Amino acid sequence: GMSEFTAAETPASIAPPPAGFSFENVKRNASLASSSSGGAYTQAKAMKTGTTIVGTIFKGGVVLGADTRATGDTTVIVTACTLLKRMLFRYQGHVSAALVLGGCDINGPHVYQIYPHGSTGKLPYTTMGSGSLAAMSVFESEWKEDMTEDEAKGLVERAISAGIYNDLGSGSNCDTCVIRTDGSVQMNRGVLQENPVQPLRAAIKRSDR
Amino acid sequence: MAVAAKGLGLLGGWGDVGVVGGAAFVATMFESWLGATWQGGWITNEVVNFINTAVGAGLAIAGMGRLGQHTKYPIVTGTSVLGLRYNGGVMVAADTLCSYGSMAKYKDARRIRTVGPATLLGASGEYSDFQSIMDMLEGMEQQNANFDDGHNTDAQQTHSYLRAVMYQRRSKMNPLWNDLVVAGPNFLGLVDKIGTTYTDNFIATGFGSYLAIPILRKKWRPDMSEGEARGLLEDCLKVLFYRDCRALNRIQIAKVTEGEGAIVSEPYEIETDWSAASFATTKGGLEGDGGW
Repeated sequence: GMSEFTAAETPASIAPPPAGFSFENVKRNASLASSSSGGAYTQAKAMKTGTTIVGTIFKGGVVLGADTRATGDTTVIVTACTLLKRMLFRYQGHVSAALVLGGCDINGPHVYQIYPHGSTGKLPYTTMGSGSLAAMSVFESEWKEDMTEDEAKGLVERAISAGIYNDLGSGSNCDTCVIRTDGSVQMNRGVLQENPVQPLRAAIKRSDR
Repeated sequence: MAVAAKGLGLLGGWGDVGVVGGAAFVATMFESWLGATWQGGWITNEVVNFINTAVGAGLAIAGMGRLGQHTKYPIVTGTSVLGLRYNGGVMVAADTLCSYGSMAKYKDARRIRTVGPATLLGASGEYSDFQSIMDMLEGMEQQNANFDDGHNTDAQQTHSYLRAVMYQRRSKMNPLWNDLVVAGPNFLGLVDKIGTTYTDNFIATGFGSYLAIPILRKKWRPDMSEGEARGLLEDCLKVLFYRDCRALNRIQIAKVTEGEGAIVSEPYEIETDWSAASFATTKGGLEGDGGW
């Protein structure tokens, strides 16, 4: 057969990309946007997504929470705060990532907030994203020292709910993650499923049915 | 023409009419001289007319700039105002701070006032514009008193009147820079600086929209007692003091009821808790708070 159309190995478009940023479309985009392409193509602007993310320490670990509207990839990247902030600083804010970093080490549970330009704060509890004020109003009303795991999980769920219902940039459902000082990690995808998407999807009348 | 422009709403006030009329007059005088002296050759009649129009426009723009300024930004400002309905009436709350940019300049500012016997008005934004609005409303109260016919302006009417005032100022591109909360025994509404209005069971301006409304949406009930309502407003103002850089923990709560009319409390301080050890001591042997 025509050897140029049979791939001996997995094509690059299907295999997981190597680590780091891929710049393979830069030349193509530049030439499409230039006048030589006829001016019909306007480059799309990068999308900013709203979100509500929170983190709090408790007696035996940390609890992190997020709304599901901004969650895309399911991989969880765990890196020390320093590595993240150094990388973000190098990109001078152009990597628009605002992060809540949480974890446990020999010194106990820790929560950090990391801003797109690389500044950080170490706090017992924090919130980020467009829903951060709604979530923070819950934290400032109800946070206390030395919570149990259930208390912390409940508080995180209520804080994310505040973002989901009061912030237009956040929505759908809540994921949480518990990281305990004994090293165990529990990822709770869809721990709160108050706005299920399945019934909405099923209600759409499609022409192919 | 200037008078016609004012009639069409293109000019703000009679001062603007004077500026435009004066500029036109000077320009036509200049054109007369120009036409008599220099017209001829390449300086045709059309060129002279163009110069006349350009000179008139330039003078009018300069005159408006120096003689009639439009509000660009507020100077002395108050932050959030909260309001909520409870079983028996309506409560309005605010702190007593007016900021001068980032300076906490006036710590005993009264941002909630009574209008007549049974209406409360709370204001955030430019304090001098609030004072101007109070002058306007107190003038109306005096007119009511002079008529002495048993009719008074109630909260809903004050709300409608303020809507008209704010929208008119916005249309002249010279707004009164306030978000206003109007309350009566059975009324709670908001008017903002561009004349938007709505009524609801609870209202918040400024940072209160982001920090207090989520709490109010969770905790408000229509049958709250006066004590519960006051506690809820104090909790909201406490969170605002924690997280709004232009807030203060010295507050006023005002209520308006059918029986007692409108009353504003004296200012008092609310307690805040900064004692959590986790804020004071960081673990991990890091200097400072571990951030930079």
